Amino acid sequence: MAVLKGFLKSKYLAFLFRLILGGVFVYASLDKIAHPGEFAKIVYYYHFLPGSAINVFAIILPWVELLAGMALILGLFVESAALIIGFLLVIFIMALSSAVIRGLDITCGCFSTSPSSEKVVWDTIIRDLIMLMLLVQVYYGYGGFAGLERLISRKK
Amino acid sequence: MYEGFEAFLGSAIVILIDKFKSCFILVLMYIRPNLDQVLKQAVWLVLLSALIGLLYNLISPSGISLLGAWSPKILPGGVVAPPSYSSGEDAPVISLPEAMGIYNSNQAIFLDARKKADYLAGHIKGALQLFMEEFDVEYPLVKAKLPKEALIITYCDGDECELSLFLARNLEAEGYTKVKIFFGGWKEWTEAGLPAVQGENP
Repeated sequence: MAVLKGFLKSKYLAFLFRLILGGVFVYASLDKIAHPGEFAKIVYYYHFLPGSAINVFAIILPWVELLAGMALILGLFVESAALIIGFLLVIFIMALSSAVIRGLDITCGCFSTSPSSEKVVWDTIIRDLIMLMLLVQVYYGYGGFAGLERLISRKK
Repeated sequence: MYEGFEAFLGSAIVILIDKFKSCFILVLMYIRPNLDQVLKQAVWLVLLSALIGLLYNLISPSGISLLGAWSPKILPGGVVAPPSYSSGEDAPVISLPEAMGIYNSNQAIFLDARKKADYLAGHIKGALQLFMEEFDVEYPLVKAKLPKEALIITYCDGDECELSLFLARNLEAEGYTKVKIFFGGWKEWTEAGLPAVQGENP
């Protein structure tokens, strides 16, 4: 228990994981922002959303990833950003699992919108689960360490 | 009586979920007293992202319409095609019965557009393989077996897969004139129990 608590409450680990997760989400957003049409097509092939919601989702999702990722890196609204990214990861895990269970042979659309990029497999889901665990650590371990938030409020 | 029990079970589940939810939120708030604020900030952050995203989409040259045409196309003969198929410009499609007829009369070359691993795991008996995404590399290898005037049937997984469509487009660009697409693909073929083999050999 003590080890687990130490892990959860470590501000240094939280700082490291913040940079990693923030970097991953910022990187993941860029190709989608550049190619919304291709990304919408990938969303469509998941057969997870109703047709009328696909384009709006494809337009907005990368920006949520980008802003939340930047917030994690900079240390602004870290807990909120962690909640958002956690929520996204849960949605991703559900969509990916349903695709794998139904045996859909589709591209992931995780980091690239190219049709020849990685496929959806169980490994993708495990990767998301690991990120979710790191995120829980960030949520509990952050406590304002190395964050812009604390710097700004200290100046006041 | 059975219906009454079902209704009781339903409401019990609803109450349980409700209790569980409030317990969960209480626990979260105990650990993080400012959960309320965190949630509020999260909503604002999402709304801000949505606003920026919609505005960017409006001014970006690669922007897309808010509503897309995302239903698969149902073509005459009941063939389901992916949304990217265009009836006027692309190669004609064939249904499963048509594919069977052509197959039995030995008039056509069936061409598997999926990757090698899928082909090895199982393909239409007699079909050649040409992975669409490696077209430039693989086409020269099978070119000799594909006369330009031959009737070529492309297929992929089924389930609105697009590889067969893109392969047909590539072949037409190479000068093939009698290409047809079997969108039902491997899925419909095996579900109908038609001749299939595994491994390297067609």
